[in-house]
Amino acid sequence: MNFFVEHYLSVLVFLPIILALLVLCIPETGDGKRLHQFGIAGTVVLFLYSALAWNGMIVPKAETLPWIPQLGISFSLGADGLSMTLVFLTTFLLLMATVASYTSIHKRLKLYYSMLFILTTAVLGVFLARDMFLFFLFWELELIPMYLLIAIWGGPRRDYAAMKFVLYTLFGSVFLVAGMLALYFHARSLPGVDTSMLFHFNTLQSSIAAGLPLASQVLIFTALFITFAVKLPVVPVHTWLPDAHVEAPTPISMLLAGILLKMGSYGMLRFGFEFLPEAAKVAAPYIGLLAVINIVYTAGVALVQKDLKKLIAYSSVSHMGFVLLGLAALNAMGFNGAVFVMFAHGLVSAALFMCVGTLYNRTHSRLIADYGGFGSQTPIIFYFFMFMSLASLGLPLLISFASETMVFYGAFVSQSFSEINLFGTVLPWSIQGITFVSGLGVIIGAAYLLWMLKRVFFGPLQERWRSLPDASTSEVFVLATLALLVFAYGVSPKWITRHFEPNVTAIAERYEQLKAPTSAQRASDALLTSRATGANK
Amino acid sequence: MSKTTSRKSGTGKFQVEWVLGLTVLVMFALLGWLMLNPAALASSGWMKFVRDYNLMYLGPETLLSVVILACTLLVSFGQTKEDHEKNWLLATLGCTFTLAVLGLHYFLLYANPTVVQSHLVFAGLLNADLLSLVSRILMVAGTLLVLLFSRVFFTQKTEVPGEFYILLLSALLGGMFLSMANDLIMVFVALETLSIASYIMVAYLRGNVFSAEAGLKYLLYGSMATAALLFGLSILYGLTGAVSFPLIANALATVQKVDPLVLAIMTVMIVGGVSFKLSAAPFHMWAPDTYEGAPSPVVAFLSVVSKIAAFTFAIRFFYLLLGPMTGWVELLSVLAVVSMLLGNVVALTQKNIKRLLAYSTVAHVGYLLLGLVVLTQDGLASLFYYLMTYLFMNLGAFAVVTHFENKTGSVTIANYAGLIRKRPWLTLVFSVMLLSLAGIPITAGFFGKFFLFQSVANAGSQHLWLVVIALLASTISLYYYLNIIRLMVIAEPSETVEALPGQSAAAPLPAFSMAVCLVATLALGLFAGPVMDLSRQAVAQMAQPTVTATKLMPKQISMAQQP
Repeated sequence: MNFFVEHYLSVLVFLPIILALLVLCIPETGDGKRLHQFGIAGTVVLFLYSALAWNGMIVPKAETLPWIPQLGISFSLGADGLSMTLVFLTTFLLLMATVASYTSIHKRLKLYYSMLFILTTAVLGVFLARDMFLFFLFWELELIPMYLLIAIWGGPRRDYAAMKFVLYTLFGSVFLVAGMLALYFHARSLPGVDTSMLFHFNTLQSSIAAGLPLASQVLIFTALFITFAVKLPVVPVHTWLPDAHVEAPTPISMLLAGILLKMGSYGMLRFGFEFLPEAAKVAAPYIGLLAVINIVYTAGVALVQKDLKKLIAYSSVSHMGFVLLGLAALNAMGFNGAVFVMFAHGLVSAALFMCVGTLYNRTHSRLIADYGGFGSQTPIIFYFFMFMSLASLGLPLLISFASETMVFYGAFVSQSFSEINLFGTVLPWSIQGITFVSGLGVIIGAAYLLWMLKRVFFGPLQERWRSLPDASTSEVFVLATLALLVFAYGVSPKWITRHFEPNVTAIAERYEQLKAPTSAQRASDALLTSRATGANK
Repeated sequence: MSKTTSRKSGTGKFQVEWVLGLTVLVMFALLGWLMLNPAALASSGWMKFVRDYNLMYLGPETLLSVVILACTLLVSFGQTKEDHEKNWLLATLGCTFTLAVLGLHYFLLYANPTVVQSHLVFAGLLNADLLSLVSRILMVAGTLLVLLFSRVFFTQKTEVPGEFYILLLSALLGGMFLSMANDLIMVFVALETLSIASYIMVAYLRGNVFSAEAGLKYLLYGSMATAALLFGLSILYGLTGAVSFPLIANALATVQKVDPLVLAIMTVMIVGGVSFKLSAAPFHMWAPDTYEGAPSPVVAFLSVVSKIAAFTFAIRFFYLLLGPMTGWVELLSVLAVVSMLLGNVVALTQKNIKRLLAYSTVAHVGYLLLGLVVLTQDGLASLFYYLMTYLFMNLGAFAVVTHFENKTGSVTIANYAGLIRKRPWLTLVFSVMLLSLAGIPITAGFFGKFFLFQSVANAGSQHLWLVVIALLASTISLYYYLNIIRLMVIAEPSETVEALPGQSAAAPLPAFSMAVCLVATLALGLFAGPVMDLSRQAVAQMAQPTVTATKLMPKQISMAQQP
C-alpha cells in the first residue's frame, strides 16, 4: 500500500501499458465480447485509481529519478492542480470512449485496445512529466498509436487523414526539439546548475529567470508555440484536424477532441506562459489575433459544412480559440477561464462526437442532406444532441457558458496589450476590441448548431430510415453521464475550478510582477521586429 | 540402405570427435581463466612470458582459435550433413564461452584499473584497451545472435553447413584483432582475415547465381579497396618510418615538411579503403547487390559485426593517429553527408527488404561518421553508444527477415502486408526494430540519434549544418521504415502471408534472438546512463596519451629514427 502512495504517479502513468500487455494475452474469440469487457474493466480501474487523487484520498508525490545524468535527463513526474484536472478528464473520457467502442468498433479488437492503452500512457505522461525530455518522449509516443487508430479503424479516406495527422505533428515536433535544446543549452551554460537535472522543469524555469535574453526567449516561445499550435489547433495549421476527425471512428474522435487537443493547450500554458512570461507578454497581441481568427473564421467555416462530423470538428476548433483568448488576457481570470474551457470543451465536444457517432452507426452517412426528421424517429438521440448543442453554444447553467464567461470577463478586464506591431506598423489593437469580435463567434456558433439541428432532426424523414432503432443502453449511458457532468459543473463551476485555480492563479501572478511601462513594451516589440528582419539588437 | 549405414557410421565416428572437441574446449577455457588470473600468474614462473607480453588479454581470441580448429576437425571427419550441423553447436558454445571470458575480463582487468597498468599486448602490436573490449563484446554478442537465427537457414539451404561456421568465426576473429590493432601490419592482417572470410561467406550458397554474383562483386570491390588502403598505409610508413601507432603519431607530430600532394593521396587512399569496409557512399556500390544476393545471416554479420570492427579501427586510426592532420575530417564529413542523403533517398524506392536494409545501413554509417568527424570525446562516446543500439536493432531486423525468408522464401517488401494477422509477435519485433532504426522515441535508436546529434551540435557551430542535414535525412527515412509497419499492420494480408499456416511452428532459437534484440532495443534507452558512462570511459581511456610507449621493442624505435 505504501508503494502506491509513494509511487502513485508512476503507477498511474504505466498502468495503461500493463493493461495493454494484458490485452495481448486474452484470446480473440468470435464476437470479441471478452475483449470489450476487459477494455471497459481496465478503464474503470484506471478511472477509479485516478479518482483517488481527485477526491483527495491520496496526495500525489512528485517523483524524481536520475536517468541519463550525463545529459541532465531525469525521470521526473509531478502533479499540480492543472495536471490533475487534465488527468481526470483523460481517465474519464477514456472510460466513455471504451463504452462507446462497444457499439462502434468491431474488428481487430486486441490491437485496438492495446493501442488505446498505449495512447493513454502517452497522454498521462505528457500531463504529468516534470522533465522536458520526458515530456517530449511522451509527446512523441502518442503519435504511433493514434496513427494506427485512425488508419485501421477509420473511414474511407483513413490513410490520407492518418498520414496528414502524423506529418503535421512531426512538423510541430521539430520545433519542440529545437526549443527544448535551446532551453537546455542555456541552462547548461549557467554556473552552479545541477547538471544531472538540466531538463527538469524547475531547472529550466530558474535558468530562464536567471537571465535569458528577451530576444532568445521570444524565439524559443515562437518555436514552442508552433508545436502546440499544430496540436491545439490554430488556424492556419488546423487543416489536419477536420480530416482526422471525419475519418476517425467515434471513440477516437471523442479522445482526439477531448484529450489530444488539450495536450497542445496544456503545453502552451506550461511552457509558453509559465516558463517564458516575458516572451508571452510580447507575443500576447499576436496570440490575440490568432484567437480571434480561430474563433470567428472556423465558426464561419462550420456554418457552410455539408458533412455533419466536419461541422462538429470545426466547431471544436472554434471553441479551442477561446483557450487562446483566455491565455492572451495574461491575468488570473483569463488563465482560469482558459483551463476551464479546456475541461468544458473536453466534455462537450466529446459528447457531440458521440452524438454524431450514434447517428452514423445507424445510417452510415455523415451528410446533413441525408438526414431530416430524426427527431421523431430517434427521440433520445435528439434530446441528447440538442442538449449538447445548447451546451456548446453557451446556454446559461451549462458548462460552456460558465467557462466562456470567465474567459470573456478575464479578457475584458485585461490590460495585456493595446497595440500590435504588424510588419513595422503599430496599429491600435486592444484586447477589449478582440473580445468583442470574438463574441461574434458565439453568435455564429448558435447559428450553425441550431441550423444543423433543424436540418437533421426536423422536416420530413426519408423513407429508408423508417426502421432505425433509437439509442442503445451503452450509448445512453455515455451521453447521460456526460450530460450530467455538463449540467453539474455548469451549475456549480467551483466543483471543478477549485482543483486548478490555485496553480493557475499562481502562474498569472507572475505577470502582475512583470508590469512593465509601455515604453519597455515598445522596445520589446522593436526587438521582435528586429528578429524578424534577422538583425540581433 | 547404404545411405543409412554410412550416416550411422558417420554419427558414431562423429561422437568421438565430439567428446574430444568439448574436452579441448573446456581445457582451453580453463587456460583462458588461468591466463587472466593475476594471482595465478604471479605464482607460476613458466608463465612469465604471458605476464611480460600481457598475453592474458588474448584469452578470448585463444579460445576462439581453438574453437575454429575444433570446428575444422569436425568438418574434416564428419561425413554427413547431420555431422556438419553439429558444428553449429560447437560454434555457438565457443562464442558463448568467449563472451563469458570477455565479461570476466571486464571485471578482472578493467573494472579495477590498478590491477594492470598497460593494455598493450605483444609489445605494442595490439592494444587491448577498454574500447577494444567493449567492441569485442559487441562483436561476439552480434555473432552469437547471428548464429542463433542462422541455424535453420543453413540447414535448409546448403549441403555443407558446417564450413560456414568456421568462416564466420574466422571473420569474427579478424574483426576482434582489427579492433585491437595498434600497428599497421596488424591492421592489414586482421582486415584481410575479416575480408577473405567474408568473401567466401557471401558466395556461400553455391547453387544460387545471385549469391555467386554477390560474392564476386564483393571480392572485386574489396580487393580494390584493400589495395588502395595498403597503398595509403605504405605512404604513411614511408613518411614516418614506423608501423606502430604511437611511433607514427610521434613522427607525424615532429615531421617538418611534407609534400601536400603526398598527404592528399595518402588520406584519400586510406579514407577510401576504410569507407569501403564501412560502406559509406560513394564506396557503397557493392552493398546493395551483395546484400541482396548473400545469405541473410551473412548480411546481418556484415552489416553489424564488420561495421563495429571497422569503426573501432577508424576511431583509433583517424582520431588518435591522424587527429591533427587536416584533410580526412573534411573528406569524411562529405562522405557522411552523401551517405545519409543517398542512403535514405535511394532506400525510398526499394522493393526488396534486403536492398532496403542495405541502403539503410549506408545511411546509418553516415550518421555514425558524424560522431567521428567532430573530433570530440563526446562525439566518439555517442558513436559508440549508437553502435551498440545499431547492433541490436539491425540484427533484430535481420532476424525477422531471415525468419520470414525461411518460412515463405520471400524477400519482397510487399509480401509483408498484413503480417500482424498471422504473426503478431513477429510483427511487434519487426515494428520495434524499424521504429528504432527510424529513431522514434523510447526506442534505443532515438537515444542513439539524440546523443549523436546533440554531441555534434555541441562540438561547435561549424558542425551545425551536419546536424541539419542529419535531421533532414532521418525525416526522409521515416517514410520507408514506417511504410513497412503500415503494410504489416494496416494493409490486408498478401498471398504469401495468407499461405502461412495459422499456428506458427515453434522456433525457439530465432525467437530467443529476437527477444534479446527486442529487450535490448527497449532497455538501452532505459539504461542509457550507465551505458553512456561505459562508452565515455572507454573513449577517455583510449584518448589519453599512452604511458607505455617505452615498453615498445627497441628494434622498432631504431627503425623509426633511421630516416
